[in-house]
Amino acid sequence: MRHLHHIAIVVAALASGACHHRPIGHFGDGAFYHSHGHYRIRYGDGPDLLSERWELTNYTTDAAGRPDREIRRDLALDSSRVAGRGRSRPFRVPAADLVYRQRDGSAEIWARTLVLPAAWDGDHASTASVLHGWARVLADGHDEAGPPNANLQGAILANFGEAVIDGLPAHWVELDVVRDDHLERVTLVGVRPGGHRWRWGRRRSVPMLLVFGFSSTPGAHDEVRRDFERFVARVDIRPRG
Amino acid sequence: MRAALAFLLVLAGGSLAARAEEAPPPDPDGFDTTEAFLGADRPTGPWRLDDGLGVEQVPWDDFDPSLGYFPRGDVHLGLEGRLSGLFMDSLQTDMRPQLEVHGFVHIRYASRSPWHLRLGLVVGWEPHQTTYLGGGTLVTTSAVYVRARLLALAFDLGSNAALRVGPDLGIQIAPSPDGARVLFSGAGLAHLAFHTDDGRFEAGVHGGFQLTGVARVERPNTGFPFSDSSGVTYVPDPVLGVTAGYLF
Repeated sequence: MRHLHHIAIVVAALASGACHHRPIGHFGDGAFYHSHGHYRIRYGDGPDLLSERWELTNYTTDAAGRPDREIRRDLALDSSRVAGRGRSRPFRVPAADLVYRQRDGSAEIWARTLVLPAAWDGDHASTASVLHGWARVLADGHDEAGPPNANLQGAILANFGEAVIDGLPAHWVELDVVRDDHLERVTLVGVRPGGHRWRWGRRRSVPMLLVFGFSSTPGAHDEVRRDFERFVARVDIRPRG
Repeated sequence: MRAALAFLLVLAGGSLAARAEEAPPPDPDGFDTTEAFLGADRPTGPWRLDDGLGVEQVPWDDFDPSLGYFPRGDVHLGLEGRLSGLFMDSLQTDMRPQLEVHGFVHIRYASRSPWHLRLGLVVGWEPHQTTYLGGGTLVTTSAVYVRARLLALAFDLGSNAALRVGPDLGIQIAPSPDGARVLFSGAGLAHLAFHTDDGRFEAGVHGGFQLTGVARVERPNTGFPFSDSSGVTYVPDPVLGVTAGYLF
């Protein structure tokens, strides 16, 4: 288990790193598609991923209220550190794919693609261990590892278990977090998106972890969970062909 | 109260971090402790986040209008009409019109690449000209032509325009008093097209040159058959015109 701590530290280091201005994704006719093609989230009953109670905060909207341009917040990474070889070159990854905030509350629901070091390929790091490592970083108060823009002051693990996303094995953790002097409950669900890898340059690629999460006050957590479940239930990991 | 809680949590996180520096920590991530604390309250089954639908029920269509090019899809059939003028006539007469119909296959190499290919068949008509030179000799130009068109250097200019350049190769038929002469036909054309937002309808201009065949036909004496005695001359005629087309 000791290696988890090191994993967590590496995640934090990676998460503070930089380059590449590929769009996060786009809102197509029936779904949000990530630009790396590893997943999509189908719309619900209407042309939205969540109900009107939720506001998408990392995109501007057009006159019709549809997501228009992304409000970009990138993390700067170093290619040689991530890939474990090659020349040191900066590249950027989006801090989050989608971030929703409750209009009449403080709860958030988000989707994020986490770029993992090449050393975490294969069985060396299971979904559970990677997610645990990430949660560990959260517990240590590293801002970039947690919910986007979170000003974390500390966290403790409240619960954890296994999950299934689009038929793939996933893992979840629940943390009680202090952010801006307020107690919040954060749930993270992580899944390896099949054999998809984060690619950049001509031949460089590293594994990635798809993380969905929601945060709220502990009292509102079960209510937000229902919206979150509907959100993640419509996730499709693209089959590899 | 909140500040105190925050302090305790930070302290807990800090102490965990401090313990992680010392080897070997018994439970550095707290999962064993949490599991023991929760006991029977630990969830037993997996949390199923899956509505049962997938690519089988809802096809994957990741066309991004901001990055992709229209029309959507890799291969389309198209039909186009062209009205042109041959400006420097091969027989030094007035400008001649030219009409043609172009059926083609439009192939895009990748949805996010501006490069594409058009491969088609052209059938065209232009006024036939015959000039008697005296001495039983006349020259005749083509009236119709059938050419294969390969617009190989083709790319989109932004989201509503495209430039395409390529050659034509085929035959042209020049009527003569004893029937018709079948001649080689060639052209080199550039096509600048503007299309609607969905890429289906397009209009544009095209220009270039075509090799108009001028067949020399002789009949030395009345009553003798015509003969193609002097071969064919190919005159490069400048072409300029407008186009309108639709892709299916």
